[in-house]
Amino acid sequence: MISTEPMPAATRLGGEMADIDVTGLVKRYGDVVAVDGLTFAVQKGEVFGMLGPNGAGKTTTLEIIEGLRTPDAGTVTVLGTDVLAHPGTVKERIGVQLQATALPPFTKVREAVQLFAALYQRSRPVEEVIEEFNLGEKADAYTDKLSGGQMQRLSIALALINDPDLVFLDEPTTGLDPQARLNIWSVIEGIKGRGKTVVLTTHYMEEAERLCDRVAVIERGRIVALDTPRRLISQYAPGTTVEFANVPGLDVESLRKVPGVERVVADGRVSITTRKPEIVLHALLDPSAPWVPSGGADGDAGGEGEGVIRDLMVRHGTLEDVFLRLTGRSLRE
Amino acid sequence: MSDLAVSLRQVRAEQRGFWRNRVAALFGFGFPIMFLLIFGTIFKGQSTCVDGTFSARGQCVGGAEVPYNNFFVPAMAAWGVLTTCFSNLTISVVNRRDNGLLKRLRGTPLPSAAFVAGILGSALISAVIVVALTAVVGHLLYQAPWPAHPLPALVTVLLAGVVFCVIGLAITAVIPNADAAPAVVNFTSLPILFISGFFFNFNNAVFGDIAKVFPIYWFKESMLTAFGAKPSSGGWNGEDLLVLLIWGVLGLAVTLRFFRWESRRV
Repeated sequence: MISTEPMPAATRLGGEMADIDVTGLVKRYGDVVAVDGLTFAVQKGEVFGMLGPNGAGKTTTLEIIEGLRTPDAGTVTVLGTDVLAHPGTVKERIGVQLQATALPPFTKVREAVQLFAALYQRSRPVEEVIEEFNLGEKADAYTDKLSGGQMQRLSIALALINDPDLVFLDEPTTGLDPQARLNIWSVIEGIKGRGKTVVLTTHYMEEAERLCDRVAVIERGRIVALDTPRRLISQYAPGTTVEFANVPGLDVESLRKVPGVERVVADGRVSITTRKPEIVLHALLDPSAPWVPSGGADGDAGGEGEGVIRDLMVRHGTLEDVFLRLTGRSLRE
Repeated sequence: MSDLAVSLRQVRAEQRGFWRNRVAALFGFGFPIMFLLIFGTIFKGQSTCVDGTFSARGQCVGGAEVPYNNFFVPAMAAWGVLTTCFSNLTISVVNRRDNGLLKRLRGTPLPSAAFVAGILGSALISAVIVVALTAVVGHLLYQAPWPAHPLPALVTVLLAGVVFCVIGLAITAVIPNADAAPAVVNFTSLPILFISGFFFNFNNAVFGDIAKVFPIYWFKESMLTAFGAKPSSGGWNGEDLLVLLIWGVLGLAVTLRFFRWESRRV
């Protein structure tokens, strides 16, 4: 595509221009600083996640990048174009899905797709998009008769009607049931598979972990960490957690002395953090260990073949742990 | 697509939504027609003194004596324009502002002007239809004459339609949320409708003077003139149209300055 736009002052990373380049972004609402000096870049073809609790400034940031809001300070370059100077040029080439799914009233699914298709210079064939998003059966239904998941698929379909290079999804699965959420996840993976750049906000860490190449953890308008989910976890929530159901009489103190154990939290479940899971697991499986309740592993209550350890689970750290560690609070607080 | 084609498409979509939304369509069309049927029947055969008062001996002083329905048909037609352009448009825009549709459209290349052209064009079509329907019902049931001056009538309807649409857009700025929209719309139009003499001619200096501040009164006067219920030269009265125009400019200024594309942050 030949661009007649002036050359932007975008940062070049690895010789390639970023799809989004945000520098020193600030947005205030009265005394409230919603976005407090954000700087980041989103590379072509990546799924970039913005993870944070409600009110962290994710949506405001997204809407500034989409050209819907004017920041108080900072620069935003999208697909090589200065958004603040040429919002119209940018809107032609991006796809936007807002948090609240709003559609024209008294409109059928096919009509909604046609209506949005007509707003762009270049758009994909309406029927093809309807089929792709599995809305064929509902094409002649009024949009207010759709289920939450269907509505969200339509909303994402409308965001992709102009075959954009860059797609923004603002909390695409909030309020959906688990089945619909899985469905939307595979839709987003499909978008990624076609090489599009995706920016998504979420407060579900499983979502960010599964879908995102990189995640910006946002808290009170600032980025507190930015990396791949794997590296965020290995930096901020390293090690393995070994969990099992608590048993009466368990000696937590002697458990803490087991080699390799870094931290033990015991309430309904016993949760052990370690970077040497094989040593810890080996120690746990020793029936003569000092932490085992009196009566031994084969005590009267246990019966033949049953040990002290039940509901054993070995898991790695998650973005939830990362968030807790970075901000001292849970994502869903 | 050209801006014009995009605007026409918006008009078509708006019209489709309007007729599918039976409550809104009924609100725009039902009330004026219903009152025409009620009052038209009650006062059939009686006469009214337009812009004047009947003296004790029953003579029309300071105005023109015409059959009641010659006056009432253009008045109800004017009300129809008001409901389709002012009431319906205002409520529908506030609804869409609150549910996020206006913001969603801002995320597309649709120019603001094309969006406004869409809702305005659709409202004007509905307005012309309601005026025509009122004239037909009035003519068939109550022997009201056809509009005496069709061109001035059309110009009045279109001008007033645009003006009341723009005032409707302006007033959305003071409507906090969708629930409040019908109340604000009715509160700002129904009392003025009454004191402007849409239903009865009356003689009260205070209310009469208050009514003359607002565009609704001048619109009614212009409709009476164009329909031939008031004597005129060719159906035109420049003063009426000028006041409407001034209100339109005021509305436009307020809209450009204060119109919001999304609901206030909570």
